Amino acid sequence: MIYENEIHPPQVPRYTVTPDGAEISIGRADFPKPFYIGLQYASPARGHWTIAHSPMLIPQCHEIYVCCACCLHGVVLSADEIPDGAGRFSMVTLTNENLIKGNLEDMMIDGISRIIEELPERPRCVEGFTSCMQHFLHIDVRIVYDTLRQRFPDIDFIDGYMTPTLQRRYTPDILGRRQLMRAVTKMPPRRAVNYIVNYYPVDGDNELTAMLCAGGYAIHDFADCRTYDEYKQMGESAANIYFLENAAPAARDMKRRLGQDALYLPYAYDYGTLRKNLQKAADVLHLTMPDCDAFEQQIEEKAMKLHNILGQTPIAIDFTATPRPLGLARFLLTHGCNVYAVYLDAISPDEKDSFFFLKEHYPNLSLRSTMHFKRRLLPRDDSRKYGKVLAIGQMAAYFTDTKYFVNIIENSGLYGYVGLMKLLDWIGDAAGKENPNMREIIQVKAWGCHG
Amino acid sequence: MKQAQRVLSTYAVDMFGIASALFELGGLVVMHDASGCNSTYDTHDEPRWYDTPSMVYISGLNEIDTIQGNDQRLIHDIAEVTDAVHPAFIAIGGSPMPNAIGTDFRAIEKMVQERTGIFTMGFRTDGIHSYLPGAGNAYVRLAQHFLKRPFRQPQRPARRINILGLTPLDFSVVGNATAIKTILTEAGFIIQSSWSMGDTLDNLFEAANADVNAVVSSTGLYLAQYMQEQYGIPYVAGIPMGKQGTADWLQALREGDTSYLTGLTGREPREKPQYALADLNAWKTETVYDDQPCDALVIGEPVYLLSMGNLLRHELGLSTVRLLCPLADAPQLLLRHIETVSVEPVIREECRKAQHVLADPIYARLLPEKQDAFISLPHEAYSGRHYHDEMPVIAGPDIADWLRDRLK
Repeated sequence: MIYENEIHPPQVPRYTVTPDGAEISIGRADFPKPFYIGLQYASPARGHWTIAHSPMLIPQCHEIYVCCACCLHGVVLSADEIPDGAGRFSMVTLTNENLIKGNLEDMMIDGISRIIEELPERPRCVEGFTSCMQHFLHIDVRIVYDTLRQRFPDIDFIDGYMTPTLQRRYTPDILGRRQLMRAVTKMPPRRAVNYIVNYYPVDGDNELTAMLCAGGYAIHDFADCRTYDEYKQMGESAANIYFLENAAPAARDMKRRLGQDALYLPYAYDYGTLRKNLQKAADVLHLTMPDCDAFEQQIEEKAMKLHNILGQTPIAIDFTATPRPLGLARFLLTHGCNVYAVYLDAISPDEKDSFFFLKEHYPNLSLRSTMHFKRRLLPRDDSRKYGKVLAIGQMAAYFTDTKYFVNIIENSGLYGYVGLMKLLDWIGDAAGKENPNMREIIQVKAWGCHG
Repeated sequence: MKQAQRVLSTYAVDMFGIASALFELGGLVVMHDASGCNSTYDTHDEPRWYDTPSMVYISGLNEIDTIQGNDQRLIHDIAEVTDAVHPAFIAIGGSPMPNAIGTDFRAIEKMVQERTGIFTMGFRTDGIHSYLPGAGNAYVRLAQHFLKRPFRQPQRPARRINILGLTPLDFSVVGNATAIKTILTEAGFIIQSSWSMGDTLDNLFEAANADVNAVVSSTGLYLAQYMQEQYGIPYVAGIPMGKQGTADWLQALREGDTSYLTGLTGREPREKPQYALADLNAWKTETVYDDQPCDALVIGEPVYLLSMGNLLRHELGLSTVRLLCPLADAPQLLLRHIETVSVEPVIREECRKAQHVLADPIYARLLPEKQDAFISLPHEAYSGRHYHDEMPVIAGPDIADWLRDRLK
């Protein structure tokens, strides 16, 4: 049993700060960095996925992290918390002795080999992870993986990277997504396309999927591969469709390696982009366009109903819920809903239009940093100040301390017109009923991940 | 390959020990790291994170600052915080990258203190050593600066007591801290200070007025030795476990009997946590121990091990009890009757020899075919928040009955 006096000791000093620097109205904010982030805070809302979780999406892949203890402690416990995750995770601890001796390649080869030999079942794929330290000391990962491939020719090896200090080209998330596709190799072509690299399977009801199916395409959804063979079948596709800007390097890499077309059909909440996405797919893949007018009409009707439900209920959105939080805010605001705050730390280039639209038309919309040091100290009392607050996303739920929240991570598979309609339903449902388990839910790492 | 771990976890590291030890005291704690360390500590090792707005941050270290040895951004960012609030102190610890480039944390300490006017502690941690010397060092540094001179000498029988080494990393938030304090106050002790759950910094300043120090985990030993050397306050290492164990512990505290459980005299040379942190390969050993079967093998932190061993032998009647500490950088004074192993295959073999293994549930994965032998005693510093529901209150008389049921 958790003791309230021990998790919430009353004698701990409380500091009061002004929101300056951690919050700014969009009318006064700069694009793309509205905040200076010095010392960084991490909120207890944990539903978004990390590189410890995403390799679990490759069936029969075993993760082996080769890092210092501080890095390992986080990833091993993260893997341990997800159902059946511990059995697919091992590690090799890097010590000061290794750093001084410089035997980085040997210890990695020996450590990974030993773990593979001791596993109860031979994995089809192993993703090894190196950390900042090894790369700072110029480990030759090519030697490591070439040796491992020679030693275990039946296993596909992926070179994974947990290098947050060394972000020369890509963030760990972007690089991680790219590497997840590296074990996909060229196969005889079929009339098929891939959805890459989401963490949630794409909801099959969307109009893009319907178009593709009607056009005779098989769809390989990375996040929905049930076997390693299904994962490998992604090598037979003509094109990779990706919805996240962060997946672009993965798509480019597959174009280079496998000759597959890269089609960026981004998540969006504006009709122009939604229609353009479908047109692009139709043009490249020779598909028949659906009746976009009908979809848009349905959405308008749904949005009107939602507005009737919500009235002027204050709404807060965070960037973990959707890669386009400003786009969603724009849609809701232009449909009469009262979005008053968006939690984010930087603005994606994809959101430039929405940013400047909101800046002009809704200048009082509050942008709020999630990482700024003051976020730790600012009161989480919007739901007491404003009455009922509706949060879209886990971080928004935590910061506003509301139990009315849409539990959504990275769009949770919703896509296109149909996805937007479903999201509007989810928002309406969330507004109608408190979720008594908000506190427990938002602290679960990588919501929906399993081993 | 001694460092390969197929199924085991790692213990919380030095920086997390510092943060946990200082969490409730109103300071600013900075982990000099790019990313990850903060969420690891906050998520897995700090059960107070959701509710208690303590200032623990990472610096957001980046490559160019690492290569150029640029500490100015760190100092600037700390000053930005202290311009907005006035923390009681500042603590800065390093992760592997600052360690590799030889970041001079003592210099940063001086520069930050000069810039902010706030007492600052720089710790040359590396994210490789365990939380034990990390937290231990934080306590000693804090005491060296803040402790007021006592206005009284330690008395016998002791009444005023400091609890040293009380953090969620070893006791979680399931009632152990509350139980220890209740046992003490019901036995007539006055709690002078608690390092560091449920107390204020102002109260800790007065700790030198205590008659005795209760060292409830290894993290408190360094401070206990310091206070013995400086103020002549004796210390007693142990956790009250079981009816007799609790009575004996209280008696040892009244008498200031340092030999209780440890056999120490209290006159041993002081162990310094920074020496443990400087040990290059303190994390691993590969000794193979006794091949004889035993009734019980206990795995954990040394003060817990000594206390649990005492309970098993003297109250629960087990004759052969072995104590195994996977934390090779624990205070050596406490390891004299404890075996130290942190290599997975060796721990597996040691577990195989035992009829019962009392350990964090992650250790049970070593022997899937022998699950019945394992008694789950989750350790927050090892498995984090994952097994809160399984955690018994280990402090107090009731743990004896809890264990008796499981040892049948």
